Parts: sequence; structure tokens; C-alpha cells
Amino acid sequence: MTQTVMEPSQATPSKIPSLTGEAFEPVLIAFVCNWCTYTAADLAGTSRLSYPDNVRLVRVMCTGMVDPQYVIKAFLEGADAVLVSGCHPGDCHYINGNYKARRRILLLKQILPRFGIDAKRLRLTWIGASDGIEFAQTMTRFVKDIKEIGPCQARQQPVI
Amino acid sequence: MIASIQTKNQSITRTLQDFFADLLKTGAVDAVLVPSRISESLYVKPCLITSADQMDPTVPLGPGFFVNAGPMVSRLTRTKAGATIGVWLRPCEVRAFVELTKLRQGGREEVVILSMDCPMALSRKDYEDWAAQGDEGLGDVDTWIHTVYQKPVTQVDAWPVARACQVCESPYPVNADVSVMLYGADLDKEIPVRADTEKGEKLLAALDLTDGGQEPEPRNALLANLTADRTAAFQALDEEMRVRTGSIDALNRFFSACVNCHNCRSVCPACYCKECVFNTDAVAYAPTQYLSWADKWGQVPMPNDTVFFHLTRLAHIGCTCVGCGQCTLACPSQIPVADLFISVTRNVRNAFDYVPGRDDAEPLPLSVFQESEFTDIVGMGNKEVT
Repeated sequence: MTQTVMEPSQATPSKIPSLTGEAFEPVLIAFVCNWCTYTAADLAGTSRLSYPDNVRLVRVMCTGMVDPQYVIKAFLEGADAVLVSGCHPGDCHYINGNYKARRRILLLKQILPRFGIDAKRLRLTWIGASDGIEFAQTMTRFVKDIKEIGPCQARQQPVI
Repeated sequence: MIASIQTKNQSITRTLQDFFADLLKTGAVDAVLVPSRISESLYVKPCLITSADQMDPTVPLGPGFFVNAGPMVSRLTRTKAGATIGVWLRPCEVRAFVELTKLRQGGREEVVILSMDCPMALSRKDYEDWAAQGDEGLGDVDTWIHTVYQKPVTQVDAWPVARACQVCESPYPVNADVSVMLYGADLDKEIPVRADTEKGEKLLAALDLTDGGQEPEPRNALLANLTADRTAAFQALDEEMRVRTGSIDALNRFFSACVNCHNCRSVCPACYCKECVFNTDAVAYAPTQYLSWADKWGQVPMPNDTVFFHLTRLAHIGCTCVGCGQCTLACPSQIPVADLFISVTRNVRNAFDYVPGRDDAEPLPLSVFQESEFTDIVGMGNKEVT
């Protein structure tokens, strides 16, 4: 599977696309659950499906453990978008973690737009373990959407 | 049941002090928690009093509000004490305590909550100026009381009340056992008190107070005007905050004076974690991390994680902020923290149709879920996902 490790030194100020006029390559952070979406990502890889390398996967045991602060930190560190993805309702390995995640995402979607972070930059999806194709399609689609929206402000300046 | 307490010597303060003393003398409660002056200074703090002769320094109603007593009641009820405590709380303190009981940080079993139409609060500087004008190092409390309850005000004499109070939409008791109704009352004559629960009725009965009082006739109209004024004031505050913090850059500027002292967290009655993540090694970064951040943007201000801290707090108390304004009072850099928190959280909680302190039985929004809800926020927007 295509997974790149973010090297902080790769994004020196002179390399910020909006400042240099280069094509905008967004950084997406995806919190994926071990049991479904991560497995789907693995399946996408073993099936030799390709998806944009803008996505950095963070494997978590369950979407229910994604504290809102993880998402906030990702945005403040310069992520252009954040995806939280786990099992379909009813399939959660921990019974109901994904339902709890849904409420937390709703909470964040109320808070982040207040500070200029478009709610479209935060997505929650259910991608099951056998959905390798859907995983690749979702990533491709999300990267395309974010390229249209453009870079997030926190990417261009440090947040105190 | 509504009873009436006769005013003594035209002093509401004295009348309430005697009321608390009577609660102790009759054994209706074993202790009371009431704001009291510390060593004859101008500052008041909630004090747990078991002796009826200790009432003189207490200030039951006044513009000094430097500790939200909600968490103090939580401390007093963390485990069973085998005693009944009467707690005298402002409406926002009741709300805070109710929210803490939902987290099992305290319980109502052994407390009787006495609450009142709120006397509002002053900022620290205004409070000090106000206190300096009175006798014995404390401002004229009875004049304050007589002014604040006669009509909707955002200013008492020369002193504008705290911004959090100016936008508070429920400055009257909700979810208390006994409610003291002061708006529109003829305070030289009597103070109407209403028992809202069985526990409250027992308490009033212990003092031989009978069902002879009535709600002050102008009270409902006054509260309606007050609520309308404050809703308008909130809209203005909300608008101002959307402009002042509408982007990451603006948010940086808003918090630019923040020194990461975390006082706002210490005094916040809604901040519930026993150990805050911002006190842990999770934010103890390696030196190389700082250098790589500096490399990324060309610079990194230190200490960092300032906005991260405030946004995390916003997310954690997004539904439960009671709007007491203590965070602004405690800020050494005079950042209007409460203005931002009140503005954001009052909108956030609407998404969950939740009001903090409204109902003990109403679960915390992030502690429950339903299988079929908020389905529109799931997916990439290209198809329905349930």
C-alpha cells in the first residue's frame, strides 16, 4: 500500500505551494480503525489498487478512541483535511465505538468552521474490511475535493 | 409551595444570614456552604459553615464571584458524608454541579440546593473599585441588591456587570430544591422562597415556614424582559466573536497574550478530566520536534500549543459550558476567554438539543448515541450512508 511518512523538513516555507505557485498537493490525515478501514487499506494495497499518496494513515484501534483533540492537532499542524473512518454501524469490533465517533465528528463540525476550517475538510466514513475498492475510491475523491478547496490556513502559518 | 421570609432591619443580607443560621440551629442541615469574606478582605469564597454564630462575614448576595462553587459541592459529595449540607448557589453554579453529577463527580443525595435569582457579578477590577467605595472594605451590598432586582440591568450604578452575566439567559434558579425569588420582590418587606422539591419542602417546614407567600407579581414580566435583553446581547457577542476569531490568523491574535498558565482550566467548573492531557508527557516534545516545527514554518512561537489547548477545551466542554465567566476572571492576560467559549458552546450544544443543568435525567451528549441519527454527516457527500 502507498503510505508515506511525513518529513517535516520537506515542507519548508519556500515549498508551501500557494507561495511558490506550484501545484497544490494537500496533506490528508486519515484516522482509520484497525478492524475495518485499515484492513480495507491493506486489501487495496495487496490488490494493487492505487490511490493518491497525499493521504497519511494513522491506525487506531477504533474510531471511538479518536479524541477530538487528535483532529484539532492535525489541523493545527497543517493538515488540509482529516478523515476518520471505521466499521459500518453494527460492525464495530467494540460494539458501538463508531456511533460515539459520529457524535464527536458532529461536535467538531460545529466548532472548526467557526475558525475558518471548512467543515468539508473533516469527513467521517464507514469502510468495511472487504471494501478495498471503496477505500481507494474514497481517498481519491477526498484528495480531489480538497485540491478544489485549496490549502488550509494553518498550513501557511504557525498556530501559537 | 411558596413561603415568605420577613425582612429584618431592611437588610436582605442580615435576613439571609439569619435564615442560614436557623437552618443550622433547627438541625434542618448540618452545614451550609455560603460565600463569605476571607479575613475581612473584599474577596469572598464559598465557605462551609457548621456554626450558626459564624454568619457575620457571609455575603449571600453581592457582585463578588471568584469561585464557581459547583466543583466545591462536587468535592463535598464525592463520597457519602452522613450529613446534610445546604448549599447556596448561583444559577450557573447549580448548572455546573448538575453537569458534574452526570459524570458521577458528586451526587445530590446529601445536599439541599438553595438557589436564587442571580445578583450578577463584576469583573475583578470593577469589583475592587466597587468595594473601595463602601464601608469596612466592602461595597454597599444592600444598595446593590436593591438596584439589581428592580429592573433588567446590565449596569449597576457606575459598574457594568461582567460580560458573561450580560449574556446569561437563565439568571434564575433551575433544578434547585429551594428557589429564592428576588426579581420584583418588595425586598424591604419580604423575600419569597419557593420549594421546588420534596426535600425543599421539608427544609422550609423545619423552619416553620408555611405556604403563605407568593411569587412577586412583576417577576415573570421582569424575567421575560431580562431574557429578551440578554438574547440580544448574546447575538451581539456572537457576532463580535465570529469576526474576532473567524480564521486561524484571527484566533492567533485573539490568544496572542495567552501565557499558557492554564488558569482558565483550573477555575472551569465544566472541565472534568481528573488528569488533563496538557499536564502529561503527550505534550512534552523532544527538542528535535521544536526544531522541525521551526523548519516547517520558518519559526515556532514558544510556549506552543496555546490555541491547541483552548480548542481542545472547547471540544471537551462544548456541550457543558455553563457560561459562568470564571475563565475571563482568572485570565492574567485579560483575554475575554468566556466571550469566545460562551459564543461557541451555545451554538454547539444546539446541534445536540442540549442545555447544561436543565435536567438531571438528560444524559451528556457525548456519553450516549442512537443507532439512527446524524446520518447526513457520514460519507463523502455523494451517497446516502447510514
